[in-house]
Amino acid sequence: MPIGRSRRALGLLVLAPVALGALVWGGMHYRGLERTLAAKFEGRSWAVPGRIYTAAFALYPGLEVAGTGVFERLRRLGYREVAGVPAGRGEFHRDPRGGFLDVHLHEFRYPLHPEEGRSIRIALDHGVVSRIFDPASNDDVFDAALEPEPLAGLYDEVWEERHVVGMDQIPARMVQAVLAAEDSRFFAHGAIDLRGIARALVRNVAARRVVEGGSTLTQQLMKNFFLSEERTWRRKARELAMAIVAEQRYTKEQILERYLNEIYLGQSGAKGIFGVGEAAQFYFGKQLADLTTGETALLAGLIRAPNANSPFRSPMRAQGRRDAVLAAMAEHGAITAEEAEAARAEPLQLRPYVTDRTNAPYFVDAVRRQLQASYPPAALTAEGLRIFTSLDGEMQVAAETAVREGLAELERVYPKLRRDEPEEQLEAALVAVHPATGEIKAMVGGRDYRITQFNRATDAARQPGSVFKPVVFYAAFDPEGGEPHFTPMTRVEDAAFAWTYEGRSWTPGNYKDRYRGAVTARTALEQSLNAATARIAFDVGLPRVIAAAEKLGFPGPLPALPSIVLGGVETTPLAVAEVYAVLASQGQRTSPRAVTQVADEQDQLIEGRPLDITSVVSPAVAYLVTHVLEGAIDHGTGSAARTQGFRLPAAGKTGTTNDYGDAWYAGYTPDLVTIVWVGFDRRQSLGLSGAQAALPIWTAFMKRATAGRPARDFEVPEGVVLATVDPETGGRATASCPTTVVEAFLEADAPTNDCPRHEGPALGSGEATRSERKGSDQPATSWWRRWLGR
Amino acid sequence: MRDQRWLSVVVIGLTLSGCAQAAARHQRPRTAQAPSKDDRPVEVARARPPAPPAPARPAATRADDGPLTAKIAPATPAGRSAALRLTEEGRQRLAAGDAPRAIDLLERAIAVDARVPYAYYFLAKAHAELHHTTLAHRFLDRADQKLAHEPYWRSQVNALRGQLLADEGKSAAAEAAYRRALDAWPGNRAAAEALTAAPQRDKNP
Repeated sequence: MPIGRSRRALGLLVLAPVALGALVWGGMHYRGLERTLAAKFEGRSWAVPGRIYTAAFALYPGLEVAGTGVFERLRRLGYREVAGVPAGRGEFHRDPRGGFLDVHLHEFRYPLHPEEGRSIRIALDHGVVSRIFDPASNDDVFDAALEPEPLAGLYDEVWEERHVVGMDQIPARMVQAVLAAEDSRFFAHGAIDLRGIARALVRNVAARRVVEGGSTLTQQLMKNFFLSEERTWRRKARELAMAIVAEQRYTKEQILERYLNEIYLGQSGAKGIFGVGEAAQFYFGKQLADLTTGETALLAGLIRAPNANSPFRSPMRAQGRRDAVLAAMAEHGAITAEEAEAARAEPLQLRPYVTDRTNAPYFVDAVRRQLQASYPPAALTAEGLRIFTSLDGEMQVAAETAVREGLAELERVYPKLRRDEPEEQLEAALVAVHPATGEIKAMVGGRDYRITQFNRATDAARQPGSVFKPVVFYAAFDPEGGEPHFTPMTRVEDAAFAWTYEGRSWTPGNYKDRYRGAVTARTALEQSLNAATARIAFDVGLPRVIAAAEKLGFPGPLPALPSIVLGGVETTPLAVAEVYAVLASQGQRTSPRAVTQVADEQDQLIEGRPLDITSVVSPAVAYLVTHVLEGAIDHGTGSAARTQGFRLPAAGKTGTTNDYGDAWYAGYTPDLVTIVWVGFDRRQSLGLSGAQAALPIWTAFMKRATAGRPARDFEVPEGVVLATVDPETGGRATASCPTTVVEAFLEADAPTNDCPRHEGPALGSGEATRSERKGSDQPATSWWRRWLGR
Repeated sequence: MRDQRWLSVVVIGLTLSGCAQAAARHQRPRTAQAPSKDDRPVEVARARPPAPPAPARPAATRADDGPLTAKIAPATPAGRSAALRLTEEGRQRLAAGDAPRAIDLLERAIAVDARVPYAYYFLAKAHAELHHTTLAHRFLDRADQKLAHEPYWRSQVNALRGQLLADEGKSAAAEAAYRRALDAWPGNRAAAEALTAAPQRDKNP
């Protein structure tokens, strides 16, 4: 065998296995790339964060638009005010004469009823909604609502906000614009575009810097999907290999659809805006189908440098890029020169840039914790769940403002409350609940979430002090608990006494050790008299008080210690809200609800958390307590709320612990229960009562939270009689009684005898209505007595 | 002389004052149970004359099954009107077989004005359709409390309770509920038919 031939044979012998090995390796690598791509193209392509929303804001006749913050809500939702009739979704128009407000609603995917973006006219009468109707058909609209506001995203590491759209939802013009801007020969080349690379090379050399990339859309997609931003040959080679595999395995339309949903198009705080569907909403408040040619071109122009070219940041640059894309579109025949010219003339009409004025971090934490009990972490952060909550965006703003300003004011007036260390600062919590539905409408868990994430509204166990007292009075007024039972007019001794139990003695003392002798039960609660309250509790017995507390929903088990009657047991503001909601809703308990519905990415309802009610206590007895607590806010310990301008029918109770370490105010209207706590995390004396520290915050919040809503009084339930009586004797008032009050009684307890001390003709049947003066031990002196000074 | 004039002024003043008070007393109602409330600001509400006495239970002959929006009068408070409209909308969705959406609307009605009793009845009905029996019973309890003076609706509440109890196999309790429904409003056909069918069902299980 010649030497040359033997060498070739030897070479073949060596090379063949190498080539075979390379082929096998290449094949395996190809299969690996295929599998990786399949996971992206055929499985879930993106980790779509869970999104948390506030409640929708129901619009109905009787609401005052300015008072309820309708314009603030529209602004936060990105509606744009226009001069004439709204032409498209996301626009509103105010009649200059105040006669109506036109709103073209956004499209919104509610889980049970998609809102397609109707146009509604809200007729106004002095700023109050008088009718809502469809301006085209003149038909009444009963279920109008402003859509929920986005509150937060639930994400793992990076918050990628993305509204995934299919090719059938993407207008051809959007595709044309993106191709003109990024890869005009996309449908003509394979994975790589040699002409494009050559063109980019020439331009870059001419410019002596990188002014144009030669990557195809497929390469860009591969880079975004799998690879980093590093500029290495290894990364470039891998990007190329993957692009080749993708082009072989998937159609151009599939690749384009992925690309249009994948691209990064801007930033809003912590939230990245990804995909053209999300970007259309973010920049213009529109669906893709509603974009104009100019808007479409502007979005396409953002792809290269979304933040530098952001129309929010630099409108001129954004318009410059838009015009370049329009020119490219015209050059490639996607639009005519006239269309391009018209699009260039379009004014830039952006959705207002909304900084997250409220994101309710403590509430979001509470929601997250609730959800974590039912959903695995990956489902919450990656599967695009939409979580609808009970929060009212405007009330939340009011709550945060009231807490922030209230604490600052306390520190201004009482400098001793100031602390240098942020973690040591004076703190507060506020929670507001709708008593009939249990919906949490606002929640503030602390002064500053950035400093401490501990949610005092849900987790801070503190002594409630006198906020507990209504439980004692419920027990005392309830005849079903046994005898003795009290009425608001029953007299009790307000004097120091010792309560002996289990061989020990407990002596409840009044504020500043001032005692008032014989007082009515009403006065004992209105004026928060410790000794009189403890005396009542002593008379009815601890077991009845504890039973009442349990029925009202006070978290137990409660220790059988006398001190509990003055709030000597720990609880949270949210738990107190639950108890007071039972009183406000006349004996009906509704568990506080933060989450109302959860929907999946396809808008299908996964879970509804419906209203659930249980009748737990007597409506009539609950009303008696409310009626007395109305007195407490009108002329008792909470009367500062009235002097500070809160005028609606309301009931409430102050709370201060013995060491002045905790200041509370718990108060309610028929539609809103709000609890405020003020104190230090490390228990220290404030030296202030609940009326001084917590009530101003409560009042500021309630004034704003209830503004513009129809006011209503507490409903008098079956079994309650309002009677005009002499407060001194409790008998039916006569014409000779120097003072009279209207008091609430259970029917069986209503006084039947005339006042024994002041003989005279009876005042009718002795019964009255709430329209007359509400019960109070304050004298209702007749005008002539006041005139004569007697 | 001057003292006598002063005395005359006081006597006349006292007389007028007494007359005014007596007149005011004369206008007070004899009974004051569950006076109606309205949604106007409280200052306005208190200036109104006292509510008339609660009417005696009316003869239960007429079906009150028209649209709830018919209950809206010019003087109906805004919140109550809105809640009635939402309740009617919920009722219609329920009739169309969309119980989840009906629940959505009815809950909203309660949020607007929790005093509207019909929302509780229709919530019970919607939950009954979705086989949420416990919830349905709870809403019926609340509706029962709030509809004590409306025979037609009390009858509907009891008929629905009868249906729920019958579905749970509690025949005796169901029968009692149907009888209460007929007591409240004899024209309740559903209750009457259920009572007629019950003995046959018992015979042919």
